[in-house]
Amino acid sequence: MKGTLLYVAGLIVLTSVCDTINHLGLKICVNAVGMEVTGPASGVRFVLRVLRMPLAWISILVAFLSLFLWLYVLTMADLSLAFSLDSFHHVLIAIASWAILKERVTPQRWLGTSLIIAGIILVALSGTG
Amino acid sequence: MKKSGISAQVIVILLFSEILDAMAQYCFKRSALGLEPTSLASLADAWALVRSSFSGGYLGIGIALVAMVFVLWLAVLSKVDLSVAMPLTSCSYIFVAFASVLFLHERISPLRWAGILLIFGGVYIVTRSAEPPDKPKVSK
Repeated sequence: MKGTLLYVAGLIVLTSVCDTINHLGLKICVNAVGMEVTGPASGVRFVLRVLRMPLAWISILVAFLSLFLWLYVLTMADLSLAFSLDSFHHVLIAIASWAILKERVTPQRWLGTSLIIAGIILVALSGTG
Repeated sequence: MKKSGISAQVIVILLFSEILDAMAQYCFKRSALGLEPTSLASLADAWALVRSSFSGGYLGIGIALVAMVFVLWLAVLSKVDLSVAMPLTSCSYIFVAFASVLFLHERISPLRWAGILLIFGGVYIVTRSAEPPDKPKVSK
């Protein structure tokens, strides 16, 4: 039983890692395109430029992988555990934003992110019905 | 009052995309409610499940909504830090809660309302922490 729990928890962490790669990749693409969307026309041009980057497609692929992993996890895991552990991606993304994208993640931002994670865990623990 | 670096435009895009996302989740739930419980013993079972999921039309609408959410997400990422945008997506918990009450007539416990309130507080603080973004380089 304990082995199963570890397996499920590991898979959930893996989906969080996938989510992090997905959003990190998209943000790198968006930064590389580096244009401001001012209206529908520039919006379309912006999206097309992003979609021309291979990294964007890797991100989308990883997003699908994450979705399938997540659906697989949901067939086995207790929902409250799954959703609690899934909030881990907020931590990973904050760390990745700071370490890789060199964003300035202030103590205030960490505090807000922590509150959100606590809130998600409460929502998850409150049950599914 | 410290000026937040998030423009009203970003907030509107995010709120709009979270509402679309909540609608997508609602469509997925509706299409799942119409399904017979199946076991996925074979590829044929999986294919039958996919076929019957699309039959109600809700799944198609859900996927179209998700595509729109993706485009809006790119627009948000072009305007704010990832470490700001990501926590803000948790607003979906708030919208999904209201949508569940309004359309699916689900009951929300006090514990869950407490969690939703914490998320709301966290989102507010993260929003305040956003700096005005550097001017993006003008592209040719």
